[in-house]
Formats: sequence, C-alpha cells, structure tokens
Amino acid sequence: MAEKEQIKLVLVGDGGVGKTTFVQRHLTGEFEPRYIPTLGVSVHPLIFYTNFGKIHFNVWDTAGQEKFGGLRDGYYIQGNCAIIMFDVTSRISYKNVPNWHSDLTRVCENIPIVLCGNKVDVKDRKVKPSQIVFHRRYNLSYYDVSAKSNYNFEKPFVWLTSKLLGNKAVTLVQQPTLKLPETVLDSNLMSLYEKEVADAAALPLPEDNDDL
Amino acid sequence: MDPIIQTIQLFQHTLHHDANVIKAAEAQLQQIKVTDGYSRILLKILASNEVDISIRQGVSIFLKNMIITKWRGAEDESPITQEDAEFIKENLIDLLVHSHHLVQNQIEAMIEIIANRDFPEKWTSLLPKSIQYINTQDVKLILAGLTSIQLGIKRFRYVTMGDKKKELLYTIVNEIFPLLLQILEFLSQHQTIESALMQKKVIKIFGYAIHFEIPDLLIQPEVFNKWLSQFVRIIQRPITPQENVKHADDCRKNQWWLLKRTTAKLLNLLFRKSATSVRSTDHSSVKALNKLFMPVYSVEVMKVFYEQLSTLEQLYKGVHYERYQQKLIEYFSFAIKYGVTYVAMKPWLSTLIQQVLFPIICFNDRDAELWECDPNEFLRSQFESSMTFATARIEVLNFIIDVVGKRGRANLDMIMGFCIQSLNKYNAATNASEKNPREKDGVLVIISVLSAYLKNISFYKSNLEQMLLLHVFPELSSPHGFLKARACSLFSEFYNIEFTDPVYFSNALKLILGLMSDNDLPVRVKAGTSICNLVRANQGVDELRPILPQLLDKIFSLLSEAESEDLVIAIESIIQRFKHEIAPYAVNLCKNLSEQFLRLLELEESDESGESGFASQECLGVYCTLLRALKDIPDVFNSLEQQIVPILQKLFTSDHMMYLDEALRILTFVTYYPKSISPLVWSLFPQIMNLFDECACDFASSYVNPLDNYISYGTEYFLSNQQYIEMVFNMYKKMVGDINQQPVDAGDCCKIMESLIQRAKGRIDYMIVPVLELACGRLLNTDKNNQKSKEFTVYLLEIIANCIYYNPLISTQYLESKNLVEPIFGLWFNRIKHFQRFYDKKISVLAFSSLLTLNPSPNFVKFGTSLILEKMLQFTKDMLSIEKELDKQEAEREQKIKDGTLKPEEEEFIDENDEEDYFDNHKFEFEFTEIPDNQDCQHDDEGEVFLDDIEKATEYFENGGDLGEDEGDNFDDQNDDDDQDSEEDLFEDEDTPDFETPIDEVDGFEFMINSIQNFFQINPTCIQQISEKQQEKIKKYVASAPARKEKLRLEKEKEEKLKQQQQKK
Repeated sequence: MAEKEQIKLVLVGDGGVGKTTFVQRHLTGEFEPRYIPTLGVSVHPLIFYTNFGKIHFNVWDTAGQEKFGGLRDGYYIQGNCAIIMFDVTSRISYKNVPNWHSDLTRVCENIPIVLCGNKVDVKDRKVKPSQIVFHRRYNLSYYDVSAKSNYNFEKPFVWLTSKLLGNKAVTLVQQPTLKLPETVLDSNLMSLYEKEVADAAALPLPEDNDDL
Repeated sequence: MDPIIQTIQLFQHTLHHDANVIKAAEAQLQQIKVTDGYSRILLKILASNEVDISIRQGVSIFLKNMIITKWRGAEDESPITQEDAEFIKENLIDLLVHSHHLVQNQIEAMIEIIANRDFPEKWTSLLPKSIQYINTQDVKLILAGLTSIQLGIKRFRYVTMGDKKKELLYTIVNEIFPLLLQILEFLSQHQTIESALMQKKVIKIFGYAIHFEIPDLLIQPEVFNKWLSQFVRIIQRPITPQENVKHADDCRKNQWWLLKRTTAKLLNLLFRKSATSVRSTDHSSVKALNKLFMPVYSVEVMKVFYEQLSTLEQLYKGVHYERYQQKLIEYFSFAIKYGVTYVAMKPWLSTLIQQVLFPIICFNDRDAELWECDPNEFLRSQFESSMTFATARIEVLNFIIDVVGKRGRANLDMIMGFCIQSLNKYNAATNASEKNPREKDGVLVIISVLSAYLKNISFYKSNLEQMLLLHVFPELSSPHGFLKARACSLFSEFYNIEFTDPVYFSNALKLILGLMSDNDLPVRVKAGTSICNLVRANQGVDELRPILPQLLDKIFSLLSEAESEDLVIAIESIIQRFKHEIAPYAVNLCKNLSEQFLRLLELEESDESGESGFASQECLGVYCTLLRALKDIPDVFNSLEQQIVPILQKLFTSDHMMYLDEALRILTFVTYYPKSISPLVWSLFPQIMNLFDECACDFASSYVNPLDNYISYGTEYFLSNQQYIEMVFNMYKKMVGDINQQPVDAGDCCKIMESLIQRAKGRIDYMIVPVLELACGRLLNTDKNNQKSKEFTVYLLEIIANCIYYNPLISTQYLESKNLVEPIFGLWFNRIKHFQRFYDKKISVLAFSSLLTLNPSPNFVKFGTSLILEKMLQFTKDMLSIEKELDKQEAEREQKIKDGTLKPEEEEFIDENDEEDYFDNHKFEFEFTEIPDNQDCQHDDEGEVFLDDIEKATEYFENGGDLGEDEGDNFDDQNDDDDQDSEEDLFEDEDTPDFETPIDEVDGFEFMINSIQNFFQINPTCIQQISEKQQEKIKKYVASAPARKEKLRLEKEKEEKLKQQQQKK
C-alpha cells in the first residue's frame, strides 16, 4: 500500500455505544461524557505512524440510530476496512452485531473487520468476555476498548493496518495524538500492600519453583 | 437536467471525501426521492452496466432502504406508490440476472424484504418467473431463479401447524420440488463452482420447507429416498485439491465446503425431527418421517458421517471446514440417545473417540498462535460453551460427557483406560522428543470434564491422589506454558480430595502462588482462578492466611490485565473465606486506597495529554468488592464510610463525570447495607441532586438505586426535609416534563418517584396532582418529537397507578376534572400485555382495587365495572400463576434440602460457588443408570430442541409476520442458522427488581377481594354488568381467601423463625 494512500475505515454499531466518543478521543484527547447522536455520517482523519510509514485512516463515523440514518449502509461503499462497535454494558447492542456485520459485508466483501466492545471501564458489564464469540465465526479480531480511558485505543487500527498490508508485523513507532494508558495501579498498589505486609510480618511469596 | 444524469451525479457526490459535499447531495436526494416514479429511475440506473459500480452500489442501497420503509415500516411514509411497487416486483428478478455481484447482494435483500410480506399472494409473478428461469439452460438464469425461490420461501421457515400458510407452502412444494430434484440430479454431473452454489440453494430451500413440518410430498418413500441419495452423494463427494482453499480460515468462503456443511446441517435436522417426534400432538407427516428415517436411514447416514469424520484430516491435510466437522460430530452426540443408532455406533466407539475425536481437543497450532499473539483471546476461547457458537472442540466434549452420562460405566472405563495409558506412556518416555505435551493437554481436558464422576466412584477416587502426584503436579513446573495452565485448573478441580500427606497440597499450592507471576498471561490467570477453589479446602485456608494481603494484591493486579469473571469470583471467595481476617486490614486498606486514588486523580488531572483514568477506575472497583464482602460486619462497614464519603464528595462534581457511575454504585452500597443512613452519608444527598440537575441527566439509571435507598431507609429524615422532597420532584419534572428527554432516563426517574409515593403514603398529598399532571401530559403528548418507548409508557402508567393507590379520591378527582379518565384508562387497558413483571401486575391490581373502595363510586367506575373487573381478574390470574410457580420452586428446594442434595441457605452462602457440593460428599457413591444399548435414553430435554423454533414463530407472528428490523438475516448464505429475532420481552435489561417496598407487605389478592365486596355493597346494581363467568370467578376467589390468608400467615411465621435463628447464629 502506497504511503500516500488514504484508507477508508467504516465505523458502525448501535446508537450510543460510543463510536463518536471513540474517534474524538483521538483528535482532541477529551472524553465526551454527554451523548450527542451523529447525524448521517461524519468523517475524521486519523493518522498513525508505524514501522511501515505513515498510515492515514479516514474514519467514517456513521449514525447508529435509525432516525438519524442518512444514507446508512450507503456510506460503506469503497470502505477498505471496518470497526463494528458494541457496548459491553448493553446486551442488545451485542445482539445487533450480526446485523451490522451482514449489512457491512453485503456492501464490502472481504474487508478486514475488527469487533470492539466499548465501555469496559464500566464495572457492571453485561456482555461477559466469554459471551463474545461472534468474531470467531468470521475470523474478525476482537478487542475490549474504553473510549473513556484510551484503553486499547490503538489496537484495532494496528490490526487493520497489518491486515491491509498483508499480515505484516505492524507496530507504532510513535504515539502521535494520545498516550497509552499505563498500568499505574499495579506497581503502586503493590508497594502499598507491601507496606502493609511488613507490619503484618507475613511470609514472603515463594518465587522459585521448589521440587515436590 | 435529465433526472437520471442528475441522480448519477448526486450519488457520485455521496462518495466524496468532503462531508459537506456528501451532506448537500444527501439533502437533494431526500427531496428528489419523493417525486413520482423515482424508484423507476433508480432501477434504470441499476440496469445500465456502464455506470460506475460504486454508483450503482449506492443506488441499489438507496433503493433498498426505500423498500425497507415501504415493506417493513409505515407504508404511508414511503414515497413508493402502488404502481411503482408493482413495477419493482416485475423487474427485480430480471435485474438480478445480469447485475454485478455487489448490486446482486442488495437486490437479494430487496427480494427478501418484499417477499416476506407479499409472497406468494401479492407477488404472483415470482414463482412462475423463477420456474421459467430454472427451466432454461443458462447458468445465470437458473441461479437467479433458485435465488428468488429461496428468498421467497424463506418466510415459511416458521409456519405453525394448521395455519393457512401451510397450504400455500405445500402448493409451492408440490409445484417446484420435482423440478428441484431434477436440478440436483442434473447438477451432480457438473463440477463447477456455480454448480456447488446452485446445489446449496436447493438444499436450503429443502431446509426451509421442512423447518417446521415436513410436507406430505416429501415423505413419500420413493421421493424421500431420491432426495436422501442426493444428500448422501453431496456429503460423500470429495473436494479436490484444486477446489479446496489454501488456508482453513477461507473454507467459509468456499462453495464446496458450504454445500457440504449446509447438507450436513440438514441431515442433522432430519435426524432430530424424526427422532424426537414421539408426541401425540405431532403432525402425521412428522410421525411418518419417524417411521421412514429412524429404522434404516439414521444408521446409514451415520455410517457416511463416520467415514467423513475419520478421513477428513488425512484427505485435506488440515485444510477443512471446522463448522462442517462440528456438524458431523453433532450427529453422533445426538445418536448416543437412540437405541438403533447407539448399537450401530458401539463397535466404532473406541476408535471414534481415540483416533478421530481426541486429536480435536488437543492443544493445536491455532491455540499456540493465540497464546503468543493474543493471550486474552486465548483465554476467551477456552471451552466456554455457548448457545450461539459451538466449535468442533466443544462438540467433542459434549459427546464425551453424553456418551458417559447416558450410556454408563463401561464407556467411562474405556475412556479413562485410554487416558491413563496415554499418561503412562508420556511419563515412561525417557527422551523429551518422545513426549507429546499437546496430547497430554488433551488427556487432562478429558479428565477435567469427567471429574465429577472420578471424584464419586470409589475406584477412581482412590487413585486421584496418585494421578495428581504423577501426572499433574510435575506439570506445574512444565516447560510448556499451556501445561502449566492446565495443571493449575486440574488441581483446582480436585481441590478437595484427601491427601495422604498434607505436604503434597502445600507444595503444589506454593507452586501455584509462584505461577501467579509467570511470564505468560494465561498461566497467571489460570493460577489466580485456581485459588478460588483452593481456598475452599481447609488446608488452603490455613496456608494462605499469612500471605493474604499479597495474594489479594496479585489477583487485583491480574484483574487489570485480563477481564475474567473467574478472577472476580476468586477475590470474592477469598474475602468470603477470610472475612474476619480481612476486617482488620480493611480500614487501613481502604485508607491507603483512598490516598492512592486521590493521588492518581491528581496525576491524571495535571496530565494534559489525557492520561488514562483506568487505574483510578480500578481503585473504585476495589472499593465495591470490599464493601460487598464486609457488609455483614457493621462496625467495619461504618468505619469504611469515614474513608469513602470524602472521596465521593470529591467525585460528585461536574469535573469527574467519568467516575460518576462507579461513585453512585459505591453510594448504593453505603446506603443499602447498613439499612440506615448516617448524617455523613446524608450530606451527599443535596450534592448528587444538584449534580443531576446540572449535568447528570444521562446517568438517571445509576441514580435509581441510591435514591431509592435514601428514601426507603431514611424515610423519616427525608420527609422532614421539604427541600429534599422538592429535589426529587424537580428531578422527575425535569425528565418527564420535557418530551425531548430519553425514555430510558425519564423512566428511571419514574421509578424514583414511585418509591417516594409509596414510602410517603398519606404525607405528600399536595404533590399528587402535579405528579399526575406531568405523567398524563407526557403520556398523551402527540408531538412527533415526544420520546417514547413501550417500557416508558408502562412506567408512566404505573406512576398513575401509584397515585391512585396513594389516594384514589385526589387522583380520580383530578383525572375526572381534566377529562383524562377515558384517554388514560384507554391507554392502560390497551397496553395490558406490556405489564409483564409481577410488580406491574400487582400495582395495577392495587390501583384498580383502590378505585373500587371509593364511596360514593365515581361514575366511570360504575359504568366501567365490567371492564375494570376483567383486567383485574386477568392480572390476578397471572399473579397467582407466578406465585404458584414460585411456591413450586420453593417446595422443590426444600425437598432437596431434605434429601440432602442441597444445603440450607446459611451454609449455602459460604459455598455459593460450589455447584458440585453434592458430588463431593465423601460417602456418596455415584451409580450410573444403566439402560440396554438398544433402547432409547429418557427424553429429558429433547423438547427444548423445538422450543426455540416455537418461540421464534410466536414472535414472528406477533410482529405481524414481519421480519423485525433487527433480524440478523444474512444474504451471503453462510450463517442463517442463528438468525437473531427481535426481542419482544420488555424490561430485558432491567436488573431483577429487588427493591423492598411497602407494597410488598400488602397482599394484592386480599386487597382486591375486599374492595370488590365493598364495591358491590355500595353499588348492588352493578353486579348485573358483569358476566356470570366473572361472578363465579369472584365467588371462587372469595371462597379461597381464608385459606390463602392462613397460608401467608404460616409462611411469614416461618420466615420470622428463620430470621431469629440466623440472628442467634
């Protein structure tokens, strides 16, 4: 794929699952907590710098709600790849994934598609990881994401890029517009507990593998 | 400008990269599409192969969306006139023939949508035209003919017996099936891709026609035989290397594999249909199928499948279609239950399991790839069976479970013999290259799925320790990650066996603790989840006690790496087991967590780059887990409050909206568990209400629980604060009074208002009219922007019900004075079937009953007696049947406790995840129910096979025979086995309401009986209005009232006793 070429990425899914918030997260670095339904479609350019050069996605953020539909599946034409998004706190949005998938593949046959479960930051998730099986049937890739916290934000794009380039090992060489979440919690919590433990004079965790 | 050229231009613009150009074109299209005959213009463009394909695609999608509005939605909104509609129907099939396949995809969708409503009666040309095409020699025409018939007949999948539509279907079947059989026989001579595609379409048509019943024509022995020979021919036909794909993932796009799978699926359907048709209500043709298929064909097909299964690997060298393989195995799983098929299968059984099925469950290349590249996906893909998705691997495990469970001990011994032999061989091999770790993994999987038997049959039980020591524990230090993970799972499976030396257990436990820091994520997670079981063993509790904090720490950190319910369960079982040990840590832990959290928060805020809030979110999650675990220790709980409230104070501000859900959840805990609200917690109330008003409307659903708790557990304080009452009212007003507010959010505010009305009975009279006013206003608002939903309408009506129950006089006076009686009750009676939950029915009965208590009775009640009573009786009947069902469940539960198969609640609580309790009883010796091989197994769950179909059918007809908008129909022919039908159940995403409300104490039944009696005393003449049947029903209810009262009294007594007992403990 030529470096200059722009990739049309179609973003679909039920209304309110967080599609717009997801793309906007990249542009502005801000989380949009209020829900403003998308009318028809809006197109966002997203640029990633990879070990294969600059990759320019045009993300077509389509309306999830029926009444704001515009051309609906008419926007999928000439799509090079797609993300189907659902909300892990809404079962119905997962149940609708097959509909989005069939609408999509009827227009764009054989394009790489990523399935994303958004809002994994919400603790009360209704669609459990073990229930997410749709992607396996069609060899899509699946990622938990969180528009709120950037969690896994880049994963779908990296996977799509590698599929479009023909299964090459793609990595980002720089993170241009957003920082990835770091697992700050672990080390901090760990040290916190360790302090506790010293007081409690507890046994240390066995680290090496004793023979039996 | 010529409209055709203009249209082409506009569609060109819709493909533009500039959103403004698109928007302009769209706007013009919206205008132009309502001109007369516009759909004809679109069809003309589609017919012209010179126009750029993307434009034709755009046009076809646009037309399809117009057709959706016309044929699925409100017809009058559609710009397509009747004349145009006929024109479309006349031309679609012709258009299908020569179009580009991308346009064909859309045309197929159009045909299906139209046919679903119009075929055959209102689309009379579809069938003759298709037949005409099929009778030609032209591949394209035949294909189009078959496609059209397939799409037309698809709607007959769910035809119920005795339906008129059945006659329509049978007429079509009689007309076309002889022709289809000819085609199929003819196609067997042609080895092209098109031939495979056409054959698949014929098979699909056959499948649709027999989906519910089997048409008489097809059940004639010679006809059936001919069809079956074709099916078998298709299954047996090998796919040549030229026809096969290069990579197994591509099989699902290969017509030859799809043909095989569709046929295998059909044969499974035939087998299931004929095997289970033993009910007297079955249609005669289905019974005839049983006689025809079961004695000979069922075994013949199985033989063919066996040959396929056993040669698949060798023939295609790993490049075969897994879902085809899965269908083949499914047939065997089903065949276990039937004497005729089981006897035939038995001679192959051992080879089938060891040579054919076993390799499928062993760790394979694909697993290895996932393990490396996407360990989270690897964890997800582990044998979690799912209703919607069966893999070959899950199917094999089902087979093994059933062949042992249904056909007894001999099979268990055979399979275990194989496993033990294989394990010994592995250990005996001196050279590492002779050991096959992937096979060992498969063996351990089998042992794990059979664990329930092994633990409860003395012979195996006595050998379990040896097995763990020799074959499982060594793998805890295996060089192969997947074996380490497997060994963790297996140890946790057998956590409660007796060890001759406790040191075995402790050593293994130490290793598992070490594995929680392994390099591979799946190993870490499996080690973490195995702790969940290991803390149930007494030895585990003792050994883990000293390192409790580290243990929790590890598991929490694992949680941030992998979403795993099992890990959450592990944390909960630890906290549960160590409840009292945790308590001293809890306050300190909470304090540190708070500091930690505030620090992270600050860090995130100062970080301009939009640093993740994930870590701080995690902290809040930890609070929730802790609070839930410590809910029974009030002292600790109260001191935790001191830590948490300041955090919440910080979070309930507009700057921290992203934490709002979580913070409200924590607030729910602190307002719920102590059953009283401390002043400190009350201090948060005005804050959250102001926040709602300011910017948190979208979070209404998260407000329901904490507000209900405030109102329910702090009623007196709440009511003494006029300001607080107003805040709740204003919240309700803001959401219900504004038609633009989403029904979901506004409905949640109704729930809060309901809680207030019920708790404050008799104390907020002044509020009833304004509350009613808003509810009625929203219900009857006809503005097209008024946001409504079925559920919301129910919630609003329930507000009215609550007001009537609160004070029928005030409420009816208001309704009458504003002439609202007729519209409101009209709506209510209309929506009866949406009142689906027990609560919905009860509150309606209470409201109707309250109306009857008025003296003098309002006129509308006197004149509408019959109608009101009818609805009341209907609801009462529903409620009684729900109660009966609950009683039945309760009785069953008690019986189980008596039998010793279930422990009473308080013990259950500790072992709430211990599903296998009754298996683990040491004295228990499991015995198989042995039945002769040639007999059928008990029909336990066969009925369920068709339940889904029946449900779908009911739904289908309730929707007026329309495809729901969200039905997952696919036109690419790959997956219509899991059509997702639209959801008819309301309140689906509701959590089970476990609110305690004052109306729980009111017996709706008694209240109803009393008010009916009261009413007829006041208005004796009204009795003439109601039917004899109703009168009798009421008499019957009145007669049963004393017995019911006594029953409720006894139940209450029992409950009280139980409570006292628990308190003593």
